[in-house]
Amino acid sequence: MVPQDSEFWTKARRARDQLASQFLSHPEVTLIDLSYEGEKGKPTEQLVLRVHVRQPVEKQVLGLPDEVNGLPVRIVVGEYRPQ
Amino acid sequence: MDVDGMTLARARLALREAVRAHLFDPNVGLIDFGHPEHSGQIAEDELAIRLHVRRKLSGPALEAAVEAGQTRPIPPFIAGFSTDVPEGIYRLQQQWSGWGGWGKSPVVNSRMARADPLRGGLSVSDENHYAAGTLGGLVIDRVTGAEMILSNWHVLVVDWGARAGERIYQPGRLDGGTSLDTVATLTRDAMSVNLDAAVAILNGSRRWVNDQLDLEPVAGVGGAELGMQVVKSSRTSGVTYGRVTAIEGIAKMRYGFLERIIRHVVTIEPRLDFEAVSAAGDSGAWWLDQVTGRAIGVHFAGSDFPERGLALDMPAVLDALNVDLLTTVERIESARVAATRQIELVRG
Repeated sequence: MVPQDSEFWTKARRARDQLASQFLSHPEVTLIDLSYEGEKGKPTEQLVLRVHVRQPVEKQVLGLPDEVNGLPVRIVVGEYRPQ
Repeated sequence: MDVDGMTLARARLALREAVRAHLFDPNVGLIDFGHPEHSGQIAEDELAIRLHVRRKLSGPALEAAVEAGQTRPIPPFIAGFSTDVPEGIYRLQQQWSGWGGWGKSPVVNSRMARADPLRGGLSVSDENHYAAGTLGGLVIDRVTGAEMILSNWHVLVVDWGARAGERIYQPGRLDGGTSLDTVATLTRDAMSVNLDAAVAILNGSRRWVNDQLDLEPVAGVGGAELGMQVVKSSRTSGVTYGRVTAIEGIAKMRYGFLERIIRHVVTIEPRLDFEAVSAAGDSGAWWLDQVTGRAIGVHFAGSDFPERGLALDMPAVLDALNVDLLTTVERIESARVAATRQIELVRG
């Protein structure tokens, strides 16, 4: 899987924080996290930034970048409630 | 009136949505699907999502209650079904159960029953809300060594105005818990550092054991890793399995009318299609690494479409609350309980 040294994760967290500071306040955005890219249901070794949104929406509509600090940005649908 | 399978399937989806949105409303005691009432008459040719309230409110009284956070407005439709709001306090009937006697309520599963010893996976709630979440497990205060239970803020605290010392019931009030079922008192929470977690100090009224109902003892604490296979034991869903698909999440979560940022979020998805990860009432349960038995997260939220659960990173929760997991395997009985048992034996 991807290398998990502290420098790698520091950069990944920084990228996440950058995305969160810009987009978490958007009413459609519910969660921003770090995940492996999925391909045909199987995870790959590519780490990606995921932006969870309430409704299916194109990246361009939200103004999301294609990548942050080298990490690709992906949109997934998910609306969460305390259980 | 016959209800076809398609309508029933739609009704179940609508019920899930209604439960999600209104389960934690202290004024709502029951949500079901049935015939609505119009002017006291049951309309047998109509179907509705029914939200049974303890007290029917309207006009300024409703506005005031909503403003005070005591209830929330019920929409006229939920997922295509009209809503009906009958009034009724069903808990009183439960207390009169002929099977269990005074003070007992019907129990859907053993997780919703009074339990001795206490362990992870059982129903629990604060004293002020008709709600129930999951007792996550047992922890120890890093400073005082006091024994505590760990669950979510929205299970043990719930109100922004709640104070330390409020009573915690096992089972939770939604499952018939009363002041006689007090097992702990609220101690502190971590919402101020964006974690939906809290601890309550045990009062020694019951024994406790370091494991999760229907699972092995907790072997320690660990960090969530991508791809990790995990399992939890929780009030509503029982034992469920999942796979960690994301870590380091930052979520925006609505608690009543306030939105909060929640950090250190771990995302968990089903291992297989159509497998359930979680349901309302599972909050507070601990996700364990299936391989090592270490606790890696505290469940706190989820979505049904797609099926996905959200947990709080366990090491972050423990640090924020200044507690450690108890990792001893043997059953520990408090001196008070042991003494009570001795007295019972002597009397017996």
